[in-house]
Amino acid sequence: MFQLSYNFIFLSQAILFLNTQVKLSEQEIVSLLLQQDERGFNYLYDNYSAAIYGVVTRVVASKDYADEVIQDVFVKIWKNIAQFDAEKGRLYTWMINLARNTAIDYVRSKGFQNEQKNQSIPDFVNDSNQYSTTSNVDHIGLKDVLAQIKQDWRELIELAYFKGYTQQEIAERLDIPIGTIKTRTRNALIELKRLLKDYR
Amino acid sequence: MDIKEYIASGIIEAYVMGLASEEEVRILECVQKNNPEVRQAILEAQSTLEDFASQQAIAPPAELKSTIWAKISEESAEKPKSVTVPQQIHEEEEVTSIPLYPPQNTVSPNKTFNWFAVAASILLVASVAFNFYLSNNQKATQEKLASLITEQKNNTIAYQNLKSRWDMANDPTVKTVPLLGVEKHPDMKAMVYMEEKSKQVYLTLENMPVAPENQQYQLWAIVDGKPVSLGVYDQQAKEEMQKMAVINAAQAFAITLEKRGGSPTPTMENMYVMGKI
Repeated sequence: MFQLSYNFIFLSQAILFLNTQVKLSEQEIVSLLLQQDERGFNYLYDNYSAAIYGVVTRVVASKDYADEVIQDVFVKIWKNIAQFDAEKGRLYTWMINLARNTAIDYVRSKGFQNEQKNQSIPDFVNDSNQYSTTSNVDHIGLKDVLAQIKQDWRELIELAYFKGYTQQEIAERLDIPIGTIKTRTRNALIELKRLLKDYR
Repeated sequence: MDIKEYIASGIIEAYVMGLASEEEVRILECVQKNNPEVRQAILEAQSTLEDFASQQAIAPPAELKSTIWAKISEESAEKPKSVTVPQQIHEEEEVTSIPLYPPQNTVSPNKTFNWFAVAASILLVASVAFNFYLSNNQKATQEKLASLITEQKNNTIAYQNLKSRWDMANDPTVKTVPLLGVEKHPDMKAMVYMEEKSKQVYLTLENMPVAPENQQYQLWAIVDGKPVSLGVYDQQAKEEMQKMAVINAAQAFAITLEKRGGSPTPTMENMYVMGKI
């Protein structure tokens, strides 16, 4: 068993060494990270940093803060990779949620809120021209999918997913019964899925 | 609980969006272990959010990569790489430390600990299963409560309707006029109540079929041989006793079936009941 996994790691490292553009499976990435191999970090960063930076930027709404938070996110992935449980979902999902939660915690921290009072931050998140959009999938020249979703659903995604509000808080904020939130979330996600099909 | 209903409730979307409560998360994670349909739905919802993240990707500044790697190297250097060493120390401590409850027999503390671990695992599994059972139970109770509340509401409405009839019938200043079925409809019956002072007319249908959807019963007062409309009866309303128009000197009342909203003149062949004062 040990011999087998050792061979497996050796093999994946050999492949990495030969070709850094190779596509690794999530399992291979995880085993590289567990081995604390720098190439695991390189692969992770090259393939996922843009997605993670996108999520973080949406939450903290400022480039300077996003630069700070994304550092924490990668350190956390590196340190906590042993806690990743493939039973509960894919690595990509795990990393997105880790990024989202780190960013939401950052926004809620006292230091951040004090700083917010002292300076005004331009609302650049919605200004898509300021950033080039890149990822493993090619989306050049395509518009922000959130802008295409109807307002009720967009608000819900913003509050739940990017602000980390509870159902109770959302019900109060949007002045809707708490019982309708789950159905609305479902509809929002179904619509999101439909819109994202065009981007594939 | 029907699994399709469970999936359609939006619980999975709430879960992947981080909206589900701790209780809901526990149940869902328990359900998905044994139910491939739920598991598939979770993976699909997660994959939508992965696509979303890919679509919303923003390239970070180029210099960040080396900054982050420096930070990681620094943190790794602070701590020893191997995590197995402290664990071993911990285990040794466990053996030499005095147990809170010294074992009565010769079983080593470590073995006792293992038994505790097994027992604790069994308890955990049982508790998760029990939680699931309780939450199912709770749903059944809530459904029952909801049906009882509906029943109670219906009873209250029925009581109110009976009471208003009773009050009218026992009020000496109210005149009751039974309207009986005409030749074609001998079984039909309605009641008109007239407040003598205000001349206000009320109507209840005692035995009349439900009117077709585009039609309504219309009450007429016969004044000096001419029909005067007192309004239409709303069979969809909860109140069986309905307030009609005011009429001063009527000799008789009649009900005809008219188009929804009523007609200016009665359709005589559709007259169902009538009664003289």
